[in-house]
Amino acid sequence: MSDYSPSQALADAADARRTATAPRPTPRAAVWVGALGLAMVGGFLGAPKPLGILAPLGTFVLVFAGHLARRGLGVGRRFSGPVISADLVGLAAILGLSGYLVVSGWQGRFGPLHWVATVVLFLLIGVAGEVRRARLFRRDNTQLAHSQHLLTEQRR
Amino acid sequence: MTQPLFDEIIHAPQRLRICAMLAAVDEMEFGTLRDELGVADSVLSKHLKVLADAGYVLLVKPLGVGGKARTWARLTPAGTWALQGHLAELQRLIQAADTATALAATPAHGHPSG
Repeated sequence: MSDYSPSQALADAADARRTATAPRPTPRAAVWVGALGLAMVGGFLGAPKPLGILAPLGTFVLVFAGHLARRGLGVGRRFSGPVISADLVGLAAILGLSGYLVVSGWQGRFGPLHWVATVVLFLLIGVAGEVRRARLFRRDNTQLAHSQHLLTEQRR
Repeated sequence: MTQPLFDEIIHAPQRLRICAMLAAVDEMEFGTLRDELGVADSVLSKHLKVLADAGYVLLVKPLGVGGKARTWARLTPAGTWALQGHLAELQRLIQAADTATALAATPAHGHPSG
């Protein structure tokens, strides 16, 4: 059995299991690029006509953000149970806000305020992403400290 | 009920971690497994081959977006059974060791002095 002790093996197995199912903090770059993409879609679609053509660029930026977030959001793992992601709820809310900006822009109600709202939207999404990242990092560290404590206890 | 059974194939540290990870999900992509384990492609390939040859892991390569093939690994029923048996055996060994330690520490089991 070599020098790989049963208690160490059990601890490793439990740790690996936790690792496989733990949500990951979205990479910081993905948070801000995603925020930019959503704001671009909302902002340019709602902009006066010549600029509206730039809206698809926002989609490309979003795709790039998705690429950056691939591992962070846990793509690459298919879970056994149903997983309700808080990200999806947040994304729905953000898309709703973007949609509101689009419609408002088309109706020409906002004028310069539309651009201010777009920048605010960008900052809002970015900051919300940062808050979520901080929360997940804190939880990861707590779990890590807990498993290290258990391992130390077992070794005693 | 799971029978405690020590499994030499699963007991290797990296393979144990692979099996434990796969037991928690339906399937996992090669790149994700590699990153979680922090090993090179070749090392992971070697371990997955051993597990696949034993019938514990199934490797599939569906065509991904843009025709790019990615390897997905999943634990087979035999693998799940073997992992559960191995973990049960590890627990049994720990309990046995604890019992032996407790008995050794009990004065009644020591040699009589004089």
